[in-house]
Formats: sequence, C-alpha cells, structure tokens
Amino acid sequence: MRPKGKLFALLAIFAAIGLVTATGAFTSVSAQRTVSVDIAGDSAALVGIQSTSQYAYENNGQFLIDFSGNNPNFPGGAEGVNPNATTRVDYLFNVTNNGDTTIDIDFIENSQYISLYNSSTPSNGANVTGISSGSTIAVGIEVDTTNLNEGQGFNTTLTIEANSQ
Amino acid sequence: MNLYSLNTLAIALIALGLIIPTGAVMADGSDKVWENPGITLSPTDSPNGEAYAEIGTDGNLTIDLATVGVNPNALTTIRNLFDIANNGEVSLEVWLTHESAESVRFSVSEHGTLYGEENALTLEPGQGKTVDLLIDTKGREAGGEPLLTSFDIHVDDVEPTATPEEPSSPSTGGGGSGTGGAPPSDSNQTSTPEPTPTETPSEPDGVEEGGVEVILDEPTDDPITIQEIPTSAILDDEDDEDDRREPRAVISHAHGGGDPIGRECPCEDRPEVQAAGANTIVEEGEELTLSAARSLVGSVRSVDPERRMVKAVSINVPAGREESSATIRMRVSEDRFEGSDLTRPRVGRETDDGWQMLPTRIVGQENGQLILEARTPGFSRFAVFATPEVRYAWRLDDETITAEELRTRFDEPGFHNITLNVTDAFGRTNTATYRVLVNDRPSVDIEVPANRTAGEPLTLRANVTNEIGNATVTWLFPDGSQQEGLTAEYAFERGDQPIRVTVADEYGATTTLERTITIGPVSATDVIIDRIASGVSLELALGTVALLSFLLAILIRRILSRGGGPGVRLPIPAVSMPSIGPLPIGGGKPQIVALENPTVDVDNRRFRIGHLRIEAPGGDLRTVEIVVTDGRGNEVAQKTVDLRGESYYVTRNEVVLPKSKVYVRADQHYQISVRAGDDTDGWVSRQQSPVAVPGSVGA
Repeated sequence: MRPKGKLFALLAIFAAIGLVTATGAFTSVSAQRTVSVDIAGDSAALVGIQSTSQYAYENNGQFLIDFSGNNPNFPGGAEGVNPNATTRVDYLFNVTNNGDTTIDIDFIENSQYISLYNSSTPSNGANVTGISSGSTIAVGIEVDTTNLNEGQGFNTTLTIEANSQ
Repeated sequence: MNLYSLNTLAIALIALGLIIPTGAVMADGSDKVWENPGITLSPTDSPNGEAYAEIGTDGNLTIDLATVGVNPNALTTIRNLFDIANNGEVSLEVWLTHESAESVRFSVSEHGTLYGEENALTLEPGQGKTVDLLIDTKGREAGGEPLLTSFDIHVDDVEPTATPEEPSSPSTGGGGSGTGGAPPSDSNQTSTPEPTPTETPSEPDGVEEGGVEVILDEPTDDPITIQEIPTSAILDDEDDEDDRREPRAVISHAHGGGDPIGRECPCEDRPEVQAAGANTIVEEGEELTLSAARSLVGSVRSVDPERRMVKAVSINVPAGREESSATIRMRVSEDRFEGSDLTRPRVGRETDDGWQMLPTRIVGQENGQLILEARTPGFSRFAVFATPEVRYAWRLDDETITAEELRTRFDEPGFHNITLNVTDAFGRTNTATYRVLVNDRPSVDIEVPANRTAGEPLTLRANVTNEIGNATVTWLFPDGSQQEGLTAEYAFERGDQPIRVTVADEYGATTTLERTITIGPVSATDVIIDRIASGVSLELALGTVALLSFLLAILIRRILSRGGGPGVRLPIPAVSMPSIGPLPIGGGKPQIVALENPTVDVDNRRFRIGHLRIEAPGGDLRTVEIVVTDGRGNEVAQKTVDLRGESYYVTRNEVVLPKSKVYVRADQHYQISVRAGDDTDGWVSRQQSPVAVPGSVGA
C-alpha cells in the first residue's frame, strides 16, 4: 500500500504547480506599486527657486516677485517702481537644479512689461542650457513701465520651464 | 524517498510557484508583476528613468518624487519614466488607477492617459511602451499630505473583436452629446447630428479626428449642431469698441472633488446663504473650490495681442439650452500651434459681453493632435487660443495664488473675503470679491444634576458651543419622546438610561452626543432609607446618620468661626477630635470681574465686548454664555463657550455674531447678558448695554 501513497502525492504536487504556473486564460489581475509624490516649497522642489533680493520671497511655499507695497520687505515704504521708466534688478533670484538630471531652463515672461536675464551674462537673456544636478543660475529682471502711468499696476505669471536633456 | 520527504518537496515546489508571479527580484532589473500574464515594469533607460524610478529590494518598481518634491502651482512632466511590457503570449489590456486622477497622469505617447479601464492600453505579445508621468499642482500649495503614495496596475485579456461595422457618421448628436467631425482645415463644414443613443462619447477617443464633442450636464435627445468656422469670421466681427472693453472679474463656486475643472454650484442661491450676507457657506476644514471661468475680457485682442486663434467652432444647442453647462472636447492639430507652448492653449467662449476663458486641460495627445477638454457655462462660438495672456490672481488673507481655479480650506470660523484679480492682455485689471462664511461645527456637553431620583423630573442642560449661526438643541429620551431647547426635563426610570442630544445650526452643521445616565438612589438619605426598609441593621443606619450629623456640625461651626462677625451661634457641642485637616470650604460662585466696553459694530454686523474676565474661586468654570437682546427683549445673538477646568476666562474683543435675518442697527437699544457657571453648579450673570460704534473701531 505504501507505494500507492507515493504516487498519489506526486500527482498532487504536479497538479498544484499546474494551477499556479499554467499559461491558460485568466479573468483579470491587479497589483499595487509605490509612487511617492510630494509637493515641496519652491526653494526645495525639483526646480529650486530661491530669492536673493528683497523684491522676491516665498509665500506658502510659492515663489513671488513683488514690486508693490504689499511686499513686507519693500524698502523705505516704497509702493512700486517708477512710472514711465525701466527698472533693472540684478540677482533677483536663483534657480537651482535639485533634480538628478541635467536640465535646460526657459523663462517665459507672460507680460510685455517684464523681461528676465541671466545676471552673470545679461546680454544673453535668461535661458540657460546644460544645468547639471545641483547647479545654480542667477536671474535678474527688467521692469519696463514706459507705457504705464502712476497708479497703474499689473499682475502676471512667470513660467519657468525646465527640460531634462 | 518516503512520504514525509515527498510532502516537503511538494511544499517547496508550491511555494516556489507562488513566489514567481508576485514580483521577485529579477536578474534583468525589471519588476515582473505577473508570470501569467507576462507583464513587467522597469525603469526606462533614460535620465529620468534612472533618476526617479528603480526596482526596490522587494523586486517591485518604485517611483520617488518625494525625496525632492515637485514645485507647487506647476506642471511637472517626467518623460520616459518606466517601461511596461507584455512578455506573455496573448494580447493584454493594461491600465492604471490611483487616488489623484485630478493631479497625476500616467500616459503613453500616441495613446494618452492610462487611467481607468476605459483608457486601457493594448499590448501585443512582446510589445512594450514607455510611460510618462505628468503632475499638475496648479492651485496647490507646498506641504500637506503626499499627492500620491501608490498606484494599481490592472491587466485583462483583450476581448475578442466583434464583426467590423460600418464607420460611424463623422458628426453625431443626441443623448446629451454630439460630435462634429470637421477635418482640420479652415473650410466650413456643417455637421447635421443624428441621434446615436448607443454611442458613449464620454471618452477622449470618442472625438473624431479634427472634430468636436459636446457632453451636456443635463442630456437632451435633440440634435446639437457643430460647425467649424474660419477664425477670420470672429476677427471680422470685432472692432475697436470691443478692444476698449474693460475686463470683468466674476467668481463662481465650483465643486472640485473628482472633477479637476470644476462644475458650477447652485449653492450660492440657498436662502440661508443670502440671509447671512455671504456668497457661500462652508464648514471648517471643508474644501472650497472657486472658479474664474465666468470672468470676461473684452475682445480677442484682450486675450492675445497677436489675435492668434488656432481653431474656431460654432456650437448650436436646442432652443432654451444656450446657458446649459457642458464639457467640450476638441481635437486640434499640433501643427497649428507652430511650436508654441502646448501646455498653454485655452478654449475661449464668445459672449455678448466679451470672452470667457474656459478651464481647459489636455486629455490626449496622439497622431499629431491634441485633445482639449473644457468646461463651459453655455454655448455660442468658441475659439482655441494658443498663447492667451489673460491672468488670474486670487488673494485670500495675506496670500496670493495665481491660477484659474482656487482650492482652499479655512480653519477659522467667521467671514473670509477672497478677491479675484483678472488682468487682460492690455494689462487692465478688474477685481471681484467673494464672501465666504466659514461655519463651525457645534460642540455640546450635557450637564446632569448629581441627585437623580427615579420617577422624579430631572432637569438636564446642554452646554453648546456654536460660534456661527443659531443652533437648535433636540433631546431624545428613552421612551422615544423629544424636547427642544437648551434645557429639558424628564422623569427617568431606575437604571442606566440612554439619551441623545443633537445640535443643529441653521447652516446645516450638526453634532450628536449620546450618553447614558444612571438613575438610582444616590442621595445619602435615599441610601439610608433603602437599607432600613430592606431590613439591614437599624443600628448601622442610625450610626451612619449620627456620623454624618457630627461631620455637618463641625463644618457649620468652622464656617461660623471664620465669619468673624456677629451672628447667630448655633448650640454646637464642643467636641475634641483628632485633627482631620482643613475642610473643603469653597470660595463661592463665579464672579464676573470685568465686562467692559461692550459695543455694537453696525458696519461689520457684530457685537463686541472689549474686555471680559470671569473667575471661579470655588471651582472650575464650565460654561460662559453671552446673550444679546434687543429693546423688545428678543434674543438677537447668542454665544456659548464650553470650558473644561479653567479657573478663569478672559478675552479681549470678544465677538458675538447676530443670528441670520437680524439687522444690526445703530439706533436700536441692545442689552448684553453674560452668564457663567462652574462645576459646583454655581452661576453668576451680569448685564450691560453696548454702545454703537463705527465699524472701524475695534475691528
């Protein structure tokens, strides 16, 4: 009787393996994987944006350039830039590549009144290519109020586009 | 080999068979999700794949964008992040799901999003695709909960293909939707929709090439006509007068939730909202989504100085449905954008008063075409702008957020003003203000007398804290009867008796407290009488009475001796006893030490007490109630502060908000009453008439 028991056990083994690894049809399957996405403050995020002047600061983690009386750091109670003038501020803020890949950075000024430039090489504009991981560029701003009068202001957004190479 | 060793082998083989399909570390550096079906995930051989994806020690793919988080209020695209491949022998459908569909999108080039079974990607045997990750944090701040912690990957067999049918008509309508199959050219083409009730055009793939799809929130069976028109038709109709029109900021309450572009909310029309003088009411911590989509700018030039439109369509809905909200999807050839930023296109809606820039997102990108999706509050002519320069800035408290849609939460009850600043391409601005009343959720505590006798009415008191709005207290007793009011009287039976108190304020916030009250012979007298009646030793009972009387005599004697003044001396026998320490003689009931500068702030519609201080020398304060009555004695404002164990209560500039529909007037006489109670059931109250002041005083 003992040999018969062995045969039954072997059959049971192969039946079990067949159930697990067969390539036959299935209904549907699903599995879970980990993906961690956090929102960091602008200064510490993938594209790090850090103020280097009193005209820019971070508000609730979001970088803000503020040439108005609302700016708590604005000097001497000033309430804005001069009308019908061109105002340049070198080294307004830094952009740091906090990611692990080399990136190119394009600045898209969504306003006719401002233009950005690389503080190190002002004549070349602000866009920079080949910023390696951990590297920083310094950015300045020119505010042109030639067509604006006293009391007129504007709000706009600045798009910083970083593309890895 | 014996049977024991065979069992061991069986267990080993079965265990091996189970491990293989669940993702062991593979020598080829991929996450073998399933042996059958043969699906693997692996970081793409690219800078992004190497930087942000890896196969962990558990053999599973892991994506890390938390060590260095993404930027707030930004669009982050991680291209070529990981590969997904079918190493099996049959065609498979693969899709992903996760909890941040509105902000995070996994997609495959030339296919689009992988989210949901409806967007499943078909992988033939041996085929692999590279997955990109798009993270949209527009309107979101830094910090807080992680945006995403996991995703689920699903695999299914490809269903057998049915017999091919004739291609559908290029234009359809009905069933609440319609698609127009206009080719990507400037030539006019009129679509005559035919009802196709079996079609489900709710997916991006339902948009015919070059076409437009309309999905009404409230479906209709009547046809919808979609016509692509030349952009010059719109430009020719505009003149300098339109260019001179100022922008107009309009704020509307949209419901966010799972809809990333928001739906209009009818809640602003609620009578209680209007009565409160607010635009909307939310609860503490509740998410509020506001949309700038109904704002207007004057002309095409106000949207883009270069008047650049890449597509224009006219959509005609059945009569009477022109102001119906809907979702519109359009396919636009990428060639028309001529290298401009593809993340910026916006669908605009032409109205009699100018252009509305609709909340727009890209829901697909395939075969050189973008699929745009926009929410519209109505119908007319629409245009796709490639480089719009209309800007929206929200300001709340001391914070400015640049976004078309604002999502926020308030933790402080009371009124909060939110402003929207709309700037057109000329730099002209307009501001609108939205008033939000943040309602607190009431809290309640039940005050039960210490002496509770079965069958005798017991007065219960609800201590309610509810800063905003008038609250109603409803009591539910064991027999099912209900009473309303801060106090309730009920004769309980002996034993554990459940009660329930529900506090509901006029703005819909409710709190329910359930409590069990034990009713029994708790007073000393009751205990003694019970024991005598039940035949317990009479001597013991009399002894207990004697002892209590003796202690009472000592207490009264000490009180009188501390009084020091003349008075009646009771004939208390002098007893010599060992010292038992100081007796707990209380310091008396609570005292209102200061009730100063009560004022009526007419402009800001509220009452204030400049300085309020209450002390409880004999116990701990439990409740402070402030009630304001008008000249006729009607209660016009009420506030209850629930305290736990504080020996004093002091505030500066205490605010009491009036009930809804109460108009605060400078020429009205009011009386402010403050009442405070402590845990020894000691109470004190005091009244004072406030003085009307301008809104700026004490604000």
